[in-house]
Amino acid sequence: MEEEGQEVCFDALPDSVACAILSKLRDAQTVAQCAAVCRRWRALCAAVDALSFESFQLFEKRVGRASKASCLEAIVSRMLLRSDGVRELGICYHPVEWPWIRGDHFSEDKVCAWLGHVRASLEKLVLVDPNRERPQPLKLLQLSHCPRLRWLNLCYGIIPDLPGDMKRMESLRTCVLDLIAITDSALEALLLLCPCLEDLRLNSCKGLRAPSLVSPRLASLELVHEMDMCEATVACLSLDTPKLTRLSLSYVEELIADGEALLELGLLCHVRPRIRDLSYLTALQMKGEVWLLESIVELVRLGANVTQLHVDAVIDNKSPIQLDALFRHLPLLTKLYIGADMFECVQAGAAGVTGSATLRLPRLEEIVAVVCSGSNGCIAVLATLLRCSSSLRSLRINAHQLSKGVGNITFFTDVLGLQREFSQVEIVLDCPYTLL
Amino acid sequence: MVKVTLKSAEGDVFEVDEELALESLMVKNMIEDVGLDSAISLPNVSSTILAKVIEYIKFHMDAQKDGSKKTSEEIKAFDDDFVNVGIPTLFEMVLASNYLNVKSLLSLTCNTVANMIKTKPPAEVKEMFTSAKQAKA
Repeated sequence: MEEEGQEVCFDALPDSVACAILSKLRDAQTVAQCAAVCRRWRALCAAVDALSFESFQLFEKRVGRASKASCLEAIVSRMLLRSDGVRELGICYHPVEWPWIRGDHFSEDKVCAWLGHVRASLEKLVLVDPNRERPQPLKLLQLSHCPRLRWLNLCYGIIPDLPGDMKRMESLRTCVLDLIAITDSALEALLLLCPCLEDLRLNSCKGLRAPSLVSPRLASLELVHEMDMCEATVACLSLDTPKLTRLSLSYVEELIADGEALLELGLLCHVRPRIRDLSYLTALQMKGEVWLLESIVELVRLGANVTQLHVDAVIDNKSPIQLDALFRHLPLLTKLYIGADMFECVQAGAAGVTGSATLRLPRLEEIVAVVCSGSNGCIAVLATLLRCSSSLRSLRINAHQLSKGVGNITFFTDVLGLQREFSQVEIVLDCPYTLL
Repeated sequence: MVKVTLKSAEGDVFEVDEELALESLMVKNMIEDVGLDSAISLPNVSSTILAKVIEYIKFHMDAQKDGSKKTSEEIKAFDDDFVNVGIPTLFEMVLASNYLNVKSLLSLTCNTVANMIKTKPPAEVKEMFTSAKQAKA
């Protein structure tokens, strides 16, 4: 290898290594350029295991208005059908002009031909095909003929039901659906066909009403909606997912689940919980609009072993609740965030009660509290939290929403008093300059 | 600590900890086959490159140990600096890590080459990677 005066270069690399390098390029245009370097590179480029066709990059220079999809279609057909053994494939056409041109998406025949060509080797697929006109069952059918597919991301499309002869997708571990209109029955059937699925994400998908999902290995489930699509709420989600450890939902009105394996639960917008058990839960997050106080209390009660609790919810029926009643059952809590509405409730609950003797939060290290009114109750709540948390290191009082008033002077004095009394804790008052 | 003796193409001898040597799957197989008594001969790897490979493995082994204070930024900085070498040396390291079967180094060096291809215009890629062949022919 180390002969005098001869430098080692690309040509000295064995095919396997050279091909591994070219496979890291991914971008189809770069690969195509490399294929033009010499005959050996041409052969190597046909054997890369990763290819990505991105409309943004491919159409940087060319600007033609009509049917860019067919233009990308031709490029993909030319390159992909010549390749051999692609494992990771991305074909993404994002229309940039609005309104969309009708029919400007890939033809189903072409997509099926591509998938048919790579079916034996395909492991990971990202397909962005802006078809919102009619379902393409053959495409799904063809996907189910890719026995090694383990990672799938589909963007845009309509899935009212699954083709009857669709095969089981035994290797699929991760499935991400973006902006797809899918019915309850289609999603339920899809999960039944994917027995090994571990990770399911639905971003801004429409059409779900009350899906009942059964998935023996599912570990992570995310339902994400953009704010402007919140009319598409899911009325009820029921889960039969014994291995589920991570669940993140937005705009789901009711959740029916066993919950016993859950470690992380994040809920955006009010969810009425019908959960049996959350005893393994370590992180609980409740955010967004119009929660019922009962639902929050119920979730906190179930998650008795949480270490991180984040309540930043807008509460509909604010009513007094005592700190003691809310947090007494949380011996492992280390991080706590109390949003404005929740704080208002505990603040109202503290009025008239002098000190809490029973509350103990021995592990609590960090608190963030958002305060709205600097009344006596507010200081009482903060003092109680400081007194019952022997490991506390930091208390951050967020006063950005503090209403202006003469009472604030007393409030600031009282906070200074707390800082003196609990000098072992770093107490920070975070408020707009105008208030001081 | 058990030591392993590695012998480079030039015949230079490197004595390293067994733990470190096992990071090379090729050396690991050799040790399993012939044992630790004799030096392991690596006729495809020059002394300079072998020293670099050992330096790389040692750094990453230390970084992974409990109590290591190295941040991911420091590790990245080391890697960036490590592959910031001339193209011939880089290719020698690709070959050596492929031969020695050190997956992490192979991936690092291959990524570096791929990034060079990505960021250069096509004509330059052609010149950069095939000139030596033409000189040889």
